[in-house]
Amino acid sequence: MSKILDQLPYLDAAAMLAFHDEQIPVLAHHIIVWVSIGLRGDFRLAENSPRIPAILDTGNNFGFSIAADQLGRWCGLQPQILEVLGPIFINRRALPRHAADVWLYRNRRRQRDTFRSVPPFRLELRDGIAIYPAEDLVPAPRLPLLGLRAIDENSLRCTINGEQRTVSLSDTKPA
Amino acid sequence: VVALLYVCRYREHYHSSGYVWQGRKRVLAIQEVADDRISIHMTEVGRLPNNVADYGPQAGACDKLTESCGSNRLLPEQGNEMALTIYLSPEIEQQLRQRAAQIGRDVTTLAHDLLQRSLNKQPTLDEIAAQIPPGIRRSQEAYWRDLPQLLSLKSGKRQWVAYHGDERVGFGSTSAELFQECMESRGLKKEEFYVDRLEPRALPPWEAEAIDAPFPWSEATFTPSENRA
Repeated sequence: MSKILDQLPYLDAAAMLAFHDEQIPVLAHHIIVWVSIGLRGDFRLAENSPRIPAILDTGNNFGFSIAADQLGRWCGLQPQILEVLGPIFINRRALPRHAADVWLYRNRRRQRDTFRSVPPFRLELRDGIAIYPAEDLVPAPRLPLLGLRAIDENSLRCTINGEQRTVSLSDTKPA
Repeated sequence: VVALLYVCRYREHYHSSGYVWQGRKRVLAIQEVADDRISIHMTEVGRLPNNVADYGPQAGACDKLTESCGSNRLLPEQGNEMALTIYLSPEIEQQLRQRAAQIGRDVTTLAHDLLQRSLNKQPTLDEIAAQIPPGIRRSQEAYWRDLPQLLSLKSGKRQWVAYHGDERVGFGSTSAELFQECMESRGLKKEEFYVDRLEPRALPPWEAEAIDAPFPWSEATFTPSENRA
């Protein structure tokens, strides 16, 4: 069993997250994790893969969703290079699901934005990731969403400690 | 768009603000089901009864055809969803069901799809499904066909399976193993094969599952101290 998120803290007040040249508002009780998007099936994440923030949203019943704009600006990936696996209906909007893996960074204990030197954990998502098209009438989430299905599908164990305001996540499979 | 224009005009005429549908019932009647869109007509029929389910001769005839038109952009002051129930006349409903049967689609999904195409230019479910590379789609169909038998084969080393068209390439404990097998050992391109878990699926991989992500409408913007105040 290996630790992925080690008592990762979340805040009970709104704050700003500095990322690239942007200041991203983070609301109270948003669990911010850091991820990279990789081509599906790669054994290792490319070294130059950008690390981007996402919200761990256990109320979301999909694996991972992101706006095309964020995918392009933050990850340097265009949806066209990720194969379409099928459609999905999110909040009654038809969105494409693209083949991709999500790599979740392992934080240092009780620190949200610093990381251990071990490789990130690859979340294998059978249905890929949902991408909100640019210029959609319905706005995409402000930050990418990592949903409960990603935790479930990869047999991870998630503990939210409301007393300490931390989240721990571990892989239940033997290393 | 129709809804937005109506709200603007109504507010201007009555010098009012707020949610124009509050306390009123608006019925969207479907006028015509075409191959690529549904034409709708909206009429006001009076005060909203307490129990909306009791209203109208066709109430409940097509309960699932409730189109959510609300969004932060359409109704900025409200910030919540607006549910509009669309009632179908028996003729139109029959037309829709026949159309769905002809093309092998679920009637509710087809109605959603056609409505969506009428209201905006975003791709429909069918258009997205058409973007699946043919090699992946053929492999998905083979996977879906075999899945009931595959489930009994699941083990620690058989967590994932890969298909190349009708051919089962093999099993693996990770999807990465199978991508390596397909691409490096067999020289396949990513758009020629499909890898999925040995887990039950409610729907074929090329069909759309309905997901209800509570974002962004349920995003709480207050802090705990404001909440207490």
